[in-house]
Amino acid sequence: MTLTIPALRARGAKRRRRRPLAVTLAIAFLLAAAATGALAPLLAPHSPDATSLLDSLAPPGTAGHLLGTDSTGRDVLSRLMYGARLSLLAPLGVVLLSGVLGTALGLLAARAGGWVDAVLSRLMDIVFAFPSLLLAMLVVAVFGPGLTAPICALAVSYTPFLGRVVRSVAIQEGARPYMESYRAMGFGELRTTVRHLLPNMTPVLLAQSALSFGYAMVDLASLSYLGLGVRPPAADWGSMISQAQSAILQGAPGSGLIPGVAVLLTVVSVNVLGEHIGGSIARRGEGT
Amino acid sequence: MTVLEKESAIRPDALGIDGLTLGIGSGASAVPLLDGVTVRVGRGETVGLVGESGSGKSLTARAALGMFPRGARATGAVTVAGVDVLAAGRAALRDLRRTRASMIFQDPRAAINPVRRVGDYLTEGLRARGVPSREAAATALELLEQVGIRDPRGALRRHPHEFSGGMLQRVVIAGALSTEPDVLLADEPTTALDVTTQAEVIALLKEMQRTRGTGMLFVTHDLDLAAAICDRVYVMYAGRIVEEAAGTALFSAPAHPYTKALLEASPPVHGDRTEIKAIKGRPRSLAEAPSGCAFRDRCPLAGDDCAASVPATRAHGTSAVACVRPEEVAR
Repeated sequence: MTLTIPALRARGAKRRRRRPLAVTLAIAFLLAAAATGALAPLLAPHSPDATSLLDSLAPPGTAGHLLGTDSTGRDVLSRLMYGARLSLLAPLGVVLLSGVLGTALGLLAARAGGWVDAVLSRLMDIVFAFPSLLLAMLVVAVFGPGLTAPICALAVSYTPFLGRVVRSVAIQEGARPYMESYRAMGFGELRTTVRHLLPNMTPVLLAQSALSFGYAMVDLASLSYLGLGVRPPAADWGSMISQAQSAILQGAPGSGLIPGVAVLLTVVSVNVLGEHIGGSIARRGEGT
Repeated sequence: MTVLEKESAIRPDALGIDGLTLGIGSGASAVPLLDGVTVRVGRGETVGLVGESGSGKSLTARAALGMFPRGARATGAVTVAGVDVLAAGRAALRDLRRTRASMIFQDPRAAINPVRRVGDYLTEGLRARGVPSREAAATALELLEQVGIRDPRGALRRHPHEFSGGMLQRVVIAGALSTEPDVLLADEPTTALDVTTQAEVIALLKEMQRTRGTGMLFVTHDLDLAAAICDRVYVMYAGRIVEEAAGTALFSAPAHPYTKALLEASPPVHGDRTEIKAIKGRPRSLAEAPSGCAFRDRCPLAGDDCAASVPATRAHGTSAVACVRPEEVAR
């Protein structure tokens, strides 16, 4: 294939055809996380919201509470399972929204050129310069807590993250001779862009989306941690960490560490997977 | 009026470029690219366009498709099968490129989207014209057979990288012919190929062109190749046509000093060894060319009269030449 990030390609070539262990682990972890989230009502041993002050701050490994309990005696495992729903879906929403917006704007800027490009690029620079978390907090302050507003806000602030990359790659890819040959075959700009340019940018899109998924997850967790995201008692990993603050000070770090590790593993898995997909698509056309 | 003339009156030339002048920008910063280029390709005729890099041959070929550099201003006339290219709107241009004119590029590997299957490449143009997908696939299969691809059915499902350069150029030729164009613009179609493959591809092009009666503008820097396969050859230098001659006459009686110099600069395959003469200086673009005849600063015959004005094209023997003293060239 034609395009691409040199780092992806170099690493891809070394890996050859066998799927590396890290990728297998990442896929397994993500599938497991998604499955537990989807099947939480069946799998969870307790209700995620059932408090039991007598059992509060049980350490991991306690009978009946495999991962222990938090400061109000809620089962950490059950909350972790239910929390997977919001914690995975919300960043996915951000990625999809910003992906569509960023790709559309980036392609438009690259293909239209001239003043359209200048205006769009400067707009993206402005949004890019604005801290995403600050924007999300402003939006929450205006529209009240809940997930919809921060998802939209984060999507907007992540748009340049993808849009600028899409623009530069599209300019580079659009200058390739095959684009000219399709033009010579009488295909319009829209058609060549959507049917040829866009598919050839998938590796970059995927890699970049995976990165922004990680950022979105951390940002949303931060919002929840600040009490601006998910409304209690609904569980998500960020709010679980936030609510575990006092417990950590009391010497029971489990209820905070466990969702923290879940966030960490998810972000790492998505990045590993994104990079792998990007690399294998880049390899496919090269015939190695 | 003979039958033939009547025929050509009803069916206009495959390609007619008349006095095409092309430039970028305006005023003092204007950069001229082409000056009064006139090229005619009749139906079923093979016409060569020869020149060094930067002489404007590719620009001329692209002009037939209405593909000009960004910000370029064109004057003159360009018609493809009677359609005025310069006056055509966007939709008309797209239609022209889909149906009347096809282009074959230098490097087939660069001219095909590498991640799409060959079948997609061949059917896309047809389907864009509203041919049902099944029918398009059948046509693609037929075309691949005609251009001599082994296992055409399997080839449809393969990616470009699974083909050799020569085979891929055949695929590109099949794609170019799928629209049954009036004129085929071949922009150095064999430069990126091996010499043996080159001969095969040329033979295929000629064969396809002969059976379909397509006009072909063959752009190349290979003078011998052009003379061998073309009915007529235009020689370009610095954005102008300097000589037009029959393919055979070009070798025996070059009428322009530049053509003669080009011939002397290429090593002869047969006969005695002769010293290869390089042309002094370097190729000029139109923007940096001297006044009057653009070749005069490199021309062994140049005199003061060459600087006066751009020499008008005039008949000399069977050729037409833009030189003030073609008589001296033969000597």
